[in-house]
Amino acid sequence: MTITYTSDHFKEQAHQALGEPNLQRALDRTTTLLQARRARAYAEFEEFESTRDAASRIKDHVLRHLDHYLERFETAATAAGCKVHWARTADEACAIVVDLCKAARAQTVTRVKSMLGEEIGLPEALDGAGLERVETDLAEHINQLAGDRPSHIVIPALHKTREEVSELFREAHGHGRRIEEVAELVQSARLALREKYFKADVGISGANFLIADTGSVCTVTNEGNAELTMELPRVHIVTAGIEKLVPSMDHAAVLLRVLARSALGMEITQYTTFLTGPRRPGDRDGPEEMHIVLVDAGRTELLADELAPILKCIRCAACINHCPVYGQIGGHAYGGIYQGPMGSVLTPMAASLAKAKDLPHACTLNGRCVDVCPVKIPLTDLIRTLRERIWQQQLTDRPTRWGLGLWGQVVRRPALYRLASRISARALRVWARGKPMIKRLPLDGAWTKSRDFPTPEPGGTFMERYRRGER
Amino acid sequence: MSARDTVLARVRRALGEPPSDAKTIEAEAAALVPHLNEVRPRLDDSDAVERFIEKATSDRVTATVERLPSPDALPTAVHQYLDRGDLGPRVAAALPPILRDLHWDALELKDEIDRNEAVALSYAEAAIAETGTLVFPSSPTVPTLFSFLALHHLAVVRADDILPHKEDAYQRFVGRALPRSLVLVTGTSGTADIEGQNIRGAHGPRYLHILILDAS
Ligand code: SF4
Repeated sequence: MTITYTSDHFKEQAHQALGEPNLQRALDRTTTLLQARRARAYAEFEEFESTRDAASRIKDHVLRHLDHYLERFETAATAAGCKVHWARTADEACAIVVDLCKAARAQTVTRVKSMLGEEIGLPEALDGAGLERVETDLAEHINQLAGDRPSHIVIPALHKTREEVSELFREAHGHGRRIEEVAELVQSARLALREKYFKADVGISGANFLIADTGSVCTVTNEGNAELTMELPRVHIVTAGIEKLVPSMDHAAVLLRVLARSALGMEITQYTTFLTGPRRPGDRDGPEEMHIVLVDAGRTELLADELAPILKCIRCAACINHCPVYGQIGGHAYGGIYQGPMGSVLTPMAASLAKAKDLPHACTLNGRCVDVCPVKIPLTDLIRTLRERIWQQQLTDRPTRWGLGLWGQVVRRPALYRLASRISARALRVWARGKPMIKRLPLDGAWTKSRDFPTPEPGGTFMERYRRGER
Repeated sequence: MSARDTVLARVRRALGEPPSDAKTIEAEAAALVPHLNEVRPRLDDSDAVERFIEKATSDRVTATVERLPSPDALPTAVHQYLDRGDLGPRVAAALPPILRDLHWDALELKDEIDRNEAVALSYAEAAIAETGTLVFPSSPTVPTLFSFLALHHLAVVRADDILPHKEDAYQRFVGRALPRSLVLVTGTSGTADIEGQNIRGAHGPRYLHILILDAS
């Protein structure tokens, strides 16, 4: 089912986010913590850089031979007793899952959040088919109760404070208490969800990696909800993007080492599970049927494109946690499923470039995302490429086009550019009236609406001082 | 054209070049992980068991560990754990016959696990020193759910089965048929979903107690 993207309202949404004190508090508490944790994990792992190199090369290799690995995986998974399905589009993928649920005469479906599931609109499709959908990740449980979308790919309820969660649980869990401690909130959810795991007819999950040579599905979680979702119901369905393949478990080991460190600053997540086929003779648990849906939904188009490196993404969210723009506006402003730098590249794939045209501009090209990406995706280059496309396809608003066009004329003529920057630097100093920061830029009020512009230093432009040997 | 053929055709079109043969691709893949020491933490010469204990009991993994001189000491150790926590005599146990046949008389061992079980005892076929991780391959003897349903998880592992790195543990299972589920457990069920605060006992165990059996 197609989900509604509101990425075309980015500006309003970002502006609104800046004015929400709860959101600002939640963002501040969490992103600072995650940055510090990643930095510590990085410092403690001497081989981080060489592992990151290997991780990046593994992903490149798989994309270069994706057809080989898809077929190899299909053969191995089928031999292990899985049924492998293929979906060209998001709608096709959802239809396959809904049909499988119907065939299983399912009433209740438990689900582990997967980014692909969110991307293809699976929650909406399951609701639309009249199934009782139970989100089992704590954060998704919160979002489901609040009717919210995930605001972060790893910590989807990052936008919620404990006070807000407490309010939601008070009613939904039927105890009527106002819980203040986070630990008690977690316990409240544990009790509410335990019964559902046993009631479910179908469990739906995603995959962090698909292991080509063994046909295994690898998931990593901290809560343990994935295993309860995958083991208890009679039918288990996995949905995964075709880019999730890795050659073998040893290759997965390399990626796992950078994934948990980049995402949460951990050496390893609490649970790393490799599932290879359904219940076997003599087994006392496990599903009777295991289905794997391999989903294209725009990926093959990206593969042929300059933007192909985004297919290496392992959804660790490091780029998001380190993005100064995300840190200010949070996830919902992006109006889609993916946020921050990776979201600015993936949302145009999942929605359309026209819908997502403001996202690549919500970037200062500071490059912190590139520095932390565990698979070395050149995010800022991809964002620049998208900006060019937006320009070429004339998707930019008129005044901006006009202004950039003028700027383009100027920068192509070095002498004119130097003259123009000399004039504007001096003009800005006059405008600033001696203050160090400019609160509102002339002719570009939007830029300074939520940030200040440093007043140019005295002594002329960089080029003038450079020529004088000052620097 | 079927969805399968369409997706594969699109991939091939996107890649342009004719596909390499499987042998070449596999050689290339193998060359990507040639020097394992560049892609994993170097473990200094410290003994794997000691490193495992250090990691498992760290403030990030939060397990407790007890080292037993021989398998015979297992029933008493379990009994004492239950006594300390005032948990009663009942334990859902998934153990290989040789441990199941020890003298468990003072306890109530049962082979099934309930949905709100208090204590589960299960056998890990291997452990990983690198991260303080237990490895549970599913089998009729040790079903996966024994690692997830109870609030207290007691795990038994032999000292000889504690291996340095992830790859060493995989090596035990790859090649022979991979178990239906291979679960790597590092500590207890946790979440950082509310304000990034680490909380234990989200859906699975809140306490993990590891009993290491030295060879007798
Ligand atoms: S782009 Fe890189 S840093 Fe961002 S989520 Fe993907 S893998 Fe992580």
